Amino acid sequence: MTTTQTSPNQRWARAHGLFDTGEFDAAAALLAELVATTESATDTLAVRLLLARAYYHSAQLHHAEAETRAVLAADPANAYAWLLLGRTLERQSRHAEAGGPLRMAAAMGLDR
Amino acid sequence: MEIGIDNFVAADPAVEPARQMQDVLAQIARADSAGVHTFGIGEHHREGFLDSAPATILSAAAAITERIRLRSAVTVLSADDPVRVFESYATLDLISQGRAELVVGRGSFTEAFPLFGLDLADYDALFEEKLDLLLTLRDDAHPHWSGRHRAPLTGQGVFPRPHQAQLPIWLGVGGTPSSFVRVGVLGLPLMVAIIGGPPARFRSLVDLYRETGRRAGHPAEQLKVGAHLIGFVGDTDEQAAEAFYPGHAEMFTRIGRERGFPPVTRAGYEAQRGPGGPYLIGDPETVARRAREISAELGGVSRLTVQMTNGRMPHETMLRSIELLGSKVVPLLDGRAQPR
Repeated sequence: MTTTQTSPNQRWARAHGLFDTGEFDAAAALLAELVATTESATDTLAVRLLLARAYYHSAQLHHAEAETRAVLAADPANAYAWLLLGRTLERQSRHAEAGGPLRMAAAMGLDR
Repeated sequence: MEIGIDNFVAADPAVEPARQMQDVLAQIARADSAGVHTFGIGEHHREGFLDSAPATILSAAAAITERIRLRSAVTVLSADDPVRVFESYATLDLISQGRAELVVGRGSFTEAFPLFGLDLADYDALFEEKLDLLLTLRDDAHPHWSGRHRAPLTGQGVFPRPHQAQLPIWLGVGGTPSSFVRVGVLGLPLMVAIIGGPPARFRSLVDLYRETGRRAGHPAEQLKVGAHLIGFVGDTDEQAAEAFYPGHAEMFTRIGRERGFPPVTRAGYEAQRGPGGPYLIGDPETVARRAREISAELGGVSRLTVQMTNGRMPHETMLRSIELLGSKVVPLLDGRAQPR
């Protein structure tokens, strides 16, 4: 069953699975690898957003912030990414900075 | 490495309970004839499970099997009387002519406490004291013993004595470090339940057990380690994964709802049966390979028991899986068969 060479789709599914079972460190490592190797820009956004969430849940908050900002740079209307950015900043006690992103998320219909 | 099966007899809504009990007995008989080393019945005191009286099920199984060792998996000792537990399993040992084993633990559910009038606040004290009495009974037919949670014993004698010179008693643990230390101090064999997450994560706890046992002066061969893992064997990896998923997802989603765990997803399931994961699900080669890897990840185990409980699986499919486990996986692991 196991092969060392797996397709990006398989690795993406596996990363999802690791994320679903709470293995955020392992998910983040796999997703970071995927982000570095995936070509299609659309796919990269989804991978980056899950990577940001995996970083967030494994308390790698600087990485989470960087990934979330990268997603927002390409997709400024992504309400979830604004929410995630706000929460990431809050967890770093950067409450003043968190206000803006959280208001953006709320304005797009995502409140806490 | 010994290979076993654990079954919690999850109720299948489509099957009459009496029918299901016949099916479970047939599964134990098949495990026996296929060469599986040991079969364990769980203990739950809640709707959805038919295993509240495991010694009764095991006794019925003892009468229709010849070689397989019969175990609890696990006996919720905190909620039982050690004298009764010892009597039941000593009797099982006589019926089975020396094939009974006890795996005792604190259990991962709490409903047995109110059911038997016990205070959950005594969780640790109850277990500690009852284990002490159980081990005393194993060594001495006429013990003098007293504790806080039970009437004292004044040498009146507890019978029958088992067929085996010493009834094997394993200690079942989850992820609590102090439990590993306790088992090591006592020098009892350790059965670690790995329900989710990478088994490698348990290595430091297993090492803690071995080191504690060594310092307590127990010989290394006495400090046996077993692991209990979710698994299922199929003719192919895909068939195994497909057949096991529905009942597994139903049970863990239902239990997860009570405990605040997220629902089971197919992607999560696939990850758990993937590289480094805890599930032994696949064809015999895959299961044998992963079993060897997990043993290495834990620093060497002498027994793996496969938790195959599934309340949504046709009886024939389960029998086939048991057959494959005994006739294919066991020979791959004991060196009688060579991997492809």
